[in-house]
Amino acid sequence: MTAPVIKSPTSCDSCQKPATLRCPTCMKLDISAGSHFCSQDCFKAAWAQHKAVHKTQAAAVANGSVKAFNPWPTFKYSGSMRPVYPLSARRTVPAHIGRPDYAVDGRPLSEMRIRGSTKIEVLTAAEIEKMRVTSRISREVLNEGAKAIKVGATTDEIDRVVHEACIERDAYPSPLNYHGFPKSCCTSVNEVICHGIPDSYEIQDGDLVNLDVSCMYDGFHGDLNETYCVGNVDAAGRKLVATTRRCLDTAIAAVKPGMLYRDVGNIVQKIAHADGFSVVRTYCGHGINQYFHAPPNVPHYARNKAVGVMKPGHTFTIEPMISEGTWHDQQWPDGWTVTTLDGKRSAQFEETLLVTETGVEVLSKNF
Amino acid sequence: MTAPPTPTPEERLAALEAWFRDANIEYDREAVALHSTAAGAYSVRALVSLNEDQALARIPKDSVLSTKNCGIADLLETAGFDGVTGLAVAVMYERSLGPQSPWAGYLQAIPEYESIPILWSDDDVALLAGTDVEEQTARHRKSLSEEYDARVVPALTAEGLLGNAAAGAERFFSKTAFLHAASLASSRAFGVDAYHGDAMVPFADLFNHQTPSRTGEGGEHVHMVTDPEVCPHCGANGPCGCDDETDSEDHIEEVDEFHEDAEEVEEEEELVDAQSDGSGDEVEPPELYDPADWTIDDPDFDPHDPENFPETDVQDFLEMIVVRDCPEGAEVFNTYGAHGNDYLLTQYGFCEPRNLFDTLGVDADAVIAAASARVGAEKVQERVDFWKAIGREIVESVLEPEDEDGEDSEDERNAPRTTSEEMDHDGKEADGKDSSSPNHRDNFCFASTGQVSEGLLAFLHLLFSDVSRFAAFADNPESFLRHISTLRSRNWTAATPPMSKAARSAKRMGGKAAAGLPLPQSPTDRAISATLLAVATARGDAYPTTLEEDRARLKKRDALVDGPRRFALLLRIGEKEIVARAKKNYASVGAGVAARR
Repeated sequence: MTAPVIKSPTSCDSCQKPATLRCPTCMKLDISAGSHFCSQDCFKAAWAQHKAVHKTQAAAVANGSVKAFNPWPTFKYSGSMRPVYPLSARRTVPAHIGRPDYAVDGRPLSEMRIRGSTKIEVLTAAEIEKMRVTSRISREVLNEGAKAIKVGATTDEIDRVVHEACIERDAYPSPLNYHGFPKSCCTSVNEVICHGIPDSYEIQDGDLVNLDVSCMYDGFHGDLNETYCVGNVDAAGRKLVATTRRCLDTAIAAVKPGMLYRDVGNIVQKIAHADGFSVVRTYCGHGINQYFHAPPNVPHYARNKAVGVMKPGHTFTIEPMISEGTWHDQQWPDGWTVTTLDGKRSAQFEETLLVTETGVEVLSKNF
Repeated sequence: MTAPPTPTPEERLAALEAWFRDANIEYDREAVALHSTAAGAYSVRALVSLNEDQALARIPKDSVLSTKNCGIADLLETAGFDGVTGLAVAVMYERSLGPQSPWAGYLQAIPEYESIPILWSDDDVALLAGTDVEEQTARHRKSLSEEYDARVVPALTAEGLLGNAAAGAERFFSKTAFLHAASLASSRAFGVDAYHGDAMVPFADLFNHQTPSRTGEGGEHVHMVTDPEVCPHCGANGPCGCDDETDSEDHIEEVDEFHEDAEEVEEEEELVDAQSDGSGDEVEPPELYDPADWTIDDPDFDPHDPENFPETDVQDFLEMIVVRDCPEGAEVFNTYGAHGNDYLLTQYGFCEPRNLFDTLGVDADAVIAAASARVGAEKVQERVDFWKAIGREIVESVLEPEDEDGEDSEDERNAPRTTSEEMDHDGKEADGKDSSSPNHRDNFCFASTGQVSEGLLAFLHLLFSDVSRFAAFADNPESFLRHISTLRSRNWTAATPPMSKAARSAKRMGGKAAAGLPLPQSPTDRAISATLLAVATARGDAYPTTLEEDRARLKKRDALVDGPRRFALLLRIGEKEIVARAKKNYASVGAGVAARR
């Protein structure tokens, strides 16, 4: 009699050799059995068959039989925030709404074609008008989403509100499938600096919740975000939020033709440092027009080497991320969520701006 | 009201040191000290004895000033400014910002300009009469001047930097300012990497030059070392957002086509999800999750201890590494490459006595004239036409087989450069050489030994080939290639000597020893020697002064200090010594002695 082949829990699905790598989709769906592979090649070989298991589990997620879980339990999270999976099913956009090139497969091909270029687009009057419209829509959507931020609401619920507010306005939610981003907005809570994925996390009393909304309408993108204090936020948290807003407003006030993009960071950092806060360096403001992200790159830290001089017709964002502790950041294994490296809180505000002949117009301004 | 006092050299150096700290440029202050020798002139001295492989300085790439990171890099990109023009405009622009420039502390410390011949007074340029540099200077000046008028002025005017008196910045963008900035770009820039290209590299440019020995070793104590293979789009050394895109333009195209096919299908069913939320329709699997990528290697790492965080987010550096021991107290040198005085003077504004890498250019027209005098203009013209049509190309293919990547071809007269890992004060175009002009296409020259370059020997052999042989070349260029290869293997003598063992080994050694073995001369060899003698003699006679006069002049007080007077004399003496050696060589020995590069 031969001994039965006992499959160790860490052997490759395909070839039975020891395996430490895992199918990322299985992890996000809480499938622990049969998702180990020893190499990308084995994974590829098994893919045609393997992916069926995702479909089965996605159905289970849809009918609510998968309990909340943390997909990366061994990851060393810097603070107390955790991903709360499974994510809700992907939201759809009606076919009549114009969509960006990346809506299909996640690759923003038009943006990728201008990679490496520093040329800043000067918009025509007609294009500027489109930027006004899309930025206004983005602002309306942000305000709708903000109304949904309350203790006990999940970030996924906010995403639903944002998504539906976009659809109502015939706008495409720009983050959806941008480089594969799974949701329609970013929700970044406490130590999450930016790019938080809306999930089943329930907002707590005292949280700092940043909501980042971007819409594409008539071929142009608008982009803005705000940080909201939920319930009883401590004084330090309120100061962080107030200072961050002041960093943005002061920087905006300086915008005018002839100003160097690299000087934005000098203004922001001076204010942040004066209040004992730090400026996140990894993520920056950006040009925005037909492209969600375009030149220029607008760092928020001092003595940066950003390129370009502001000219009438430039449209771009300033979006300082200001942290209580260190400016160093860390990414979660989801490839998106960015937190502070020390787990202390971070706040952010963003507006979409137009350089005018005399100064600046805040295209996404509140009303 | 009085003008603010001009800072002393010491004050400038102190401001530079403060700027180094701000820019996170670190150097080993216990190993070396910086000295300001005059306004804008520096030297680096060893405080202790320096050992090979020792790192002296770490310069964040972020601190270099390049066409990619200056404030108007977008304008430079739009205008298509690169090379010396691009860097010169970048320097002019940052200078125009005064203390507002992130490079202010650096720019105040370097000289306003480097005294290269294009910036010399007419009287000083007259000291170069008869030299190779005289003509190069005129051409270099003209090309920069035209570049400024035709391209720089329109671009700066469009940007409102010129023609906008209200801005008050005009003087920073004048033609003089451009030539000054170009002299800095020419003399101080280093090739940094695939992204920055040639850039001003603070700290690295404080080291003075020492010419290496003939073998290419010695001379310098330090090299600048970096990894030049960075992302050409964003400069990242390591993974970056451009990664999957740089993989293949083709792939992007493919995906495009794929979309067109897929469009109709997905029109109906909203969004097709190609990423990974489990819809199960993905053709390719995503990248596997490797837990090792997401764990911190050091289990003791405490993310709450600020001590664990680096001060900066700079990840990519240039390093100054000791490549040759340097004794305590000595000046620490870099090398700008194995260059003759003409190149050193044109690019960097100085010359060295007894430079082994000196060359003396030979004008093809002078050779043609001398040959015509011997065998008749018509015969020579036929052969020159053949040379221009195909002969030159054939000779180049023999002399420079395709094993090099061709990077150095614009300056044939220079010794090969050092490896790309260790960049010198070098990577720039030799502006003095316009390869499109027929008169300068051939870098014919005498080496410092007075031996003639192989390309010129090949040309001479063509000019003096007899009627039947030339007819064969014209008929079948292959036969010219074979002939040149044979000549080269015979050390460029037309005679067919019984090759002795000694002669063969001498040839392998580079042909130099062959000078001691007089070979029987053919009529062609004699014609070549006579022509070279005539060319060298005419060249020597064209100088307004003699070698002896120049040597005597060099001892005078005003030639002892560095400056145009001294450097022009060193250049002239170097060239005239080559003339003398060439005359000696070709008066007494056969033509079969070539300088192998």
